[in-house]
Amino acid sequence: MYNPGVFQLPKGAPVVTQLSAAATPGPQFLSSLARQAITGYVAYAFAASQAVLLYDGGRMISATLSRGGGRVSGLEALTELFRRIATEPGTVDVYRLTPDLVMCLHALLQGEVLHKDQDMRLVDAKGLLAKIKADRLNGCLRIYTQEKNALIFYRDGVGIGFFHDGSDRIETQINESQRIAGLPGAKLDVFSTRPPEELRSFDLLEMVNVEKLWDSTVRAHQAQLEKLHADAAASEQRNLEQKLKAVHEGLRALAIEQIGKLGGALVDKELLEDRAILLDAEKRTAFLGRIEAGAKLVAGMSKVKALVAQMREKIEAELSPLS
Amino acid sequence: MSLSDYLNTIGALDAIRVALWLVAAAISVYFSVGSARIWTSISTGFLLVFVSEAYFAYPSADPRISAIHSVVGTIAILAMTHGLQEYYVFSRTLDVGGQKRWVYLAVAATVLASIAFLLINPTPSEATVRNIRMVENATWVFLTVINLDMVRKIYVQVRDTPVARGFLAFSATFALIFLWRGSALYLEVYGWDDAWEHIASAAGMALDPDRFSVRAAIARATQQGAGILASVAASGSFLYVLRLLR
Repeated sequence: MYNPGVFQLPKGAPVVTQLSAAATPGPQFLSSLARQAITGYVAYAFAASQAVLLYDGGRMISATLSRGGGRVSGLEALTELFRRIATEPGTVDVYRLTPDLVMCLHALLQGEVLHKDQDMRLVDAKGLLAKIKADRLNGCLRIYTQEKNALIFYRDGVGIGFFHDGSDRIETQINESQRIAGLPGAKLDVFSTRPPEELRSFDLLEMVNVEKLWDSTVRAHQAQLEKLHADAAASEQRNLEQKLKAVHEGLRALAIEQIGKLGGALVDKELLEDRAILLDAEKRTAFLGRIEAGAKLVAGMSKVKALVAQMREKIEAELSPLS
Repeated sequence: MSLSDYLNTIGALDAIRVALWLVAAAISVYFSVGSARIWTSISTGFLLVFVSEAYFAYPSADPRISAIHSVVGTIAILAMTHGLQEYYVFSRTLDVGGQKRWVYLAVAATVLASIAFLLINPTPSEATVRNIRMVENATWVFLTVINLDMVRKIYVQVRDTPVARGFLAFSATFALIFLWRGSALYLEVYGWDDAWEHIASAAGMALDPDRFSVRAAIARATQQGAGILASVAASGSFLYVLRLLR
């Protein structure tokens, strides 16, 4: 069974299974299903959410997305779906069902809730069934315990199929559903919706400009990615600058220690304009050469050589992890 | 000619002074070989001092030779001053650049041009030679004062570096040079030098050598003594800086 996040859905005739959601850009994929006049449902599965799109004769009559214990529908569901297709890995399955079953699923996902969490021990089953028949219910019953689920589909008050966990097809026998109804703690939900003829007048693909919605979603995602990259690059740049500044101050301290304030001034003169020269091997060598040339005028060769060696060591120790 | 005859001819003090300037020149040249370009001008200047003073070791009858030595002496203090100015610029801007060979070439070109100028002009008379020497001494006096200030400024900039005390030594050298050349100029300005006595007597001018004999004697003694001490101080300064920069 397929699990839309709340309860499982019956798998019909598979059209596509376990396709990568990112490999099929939303608008093109959904439009292709419309062109094929498909009747059934498209199920998207992501790490923390699932979406179900119901089709009847190529018309998208419902879009729902479940996440974090909640569910959204319509434009909001499509927007959220496109966002997830663009930003996270997921899979998509497409199953064909009859129009009546699609109607029942619509009741399950978006229909009117007639009864919710009713304890089966307190339910007058006969009376309920009689009312369903009298009211010509279009929808479904859901009977469930903590571990088990069963669905009973109705069209004009007549049962048209049964479905339960572990099954791979719509069944015509009520046996399992009855058995679940008899289990301790079993509960009942009743969902109702409009007949398929009325549902078909609603087509989300015509009401929503999915191309524009997709483009704006992708652009927003792109912009977010670029901002993240820019922020990361800026943060990396800031870290690098701080690191270079610390190395600069360390080199200045070394020079002052060996040859006095003029040594510090020599280091500042070379590095204040562009500390990034310390990251390039050639420029680094030239920098140390200039320090040596200046230091030789105010200090002896042994001190100058010691200073240059210490500077080289310090630069390599502090900056080699960055190269 | 024996050594004593030679010393009697040229004067013992002059001989000692020339010998000491030779030592100072040798040390300054040795120092400049392994040091940076900025020291080259200063070292070359002290070398030229010896070249200038060497005249006294072998005086020539040709007045142009005396004039050439005076001109070389003038160029010597110019080279030293240029070197100290470059050092001061370095101590403020920290710019180090250039090559030694350009210093040698510039100094050599200046010396040659000066010699050429003397050669193309009429043979200088005794008075002309004295004038050239007065210009030399005046240049030394004024540039030495400038150099003393320059050394002070350099010292302020490099105060906490190993080489700083070397400049204190050079300030002592230039102070002695100031006394040496200053006293010589003093004698020349007031006509108490030997050359003027010779020129005046040849011209039949009456002089009163005893009128200010004490001042003249002090000035001569200062000239002789400071000349020797300046050479010793120059040698010592270069040796001291060599030790500081080891």
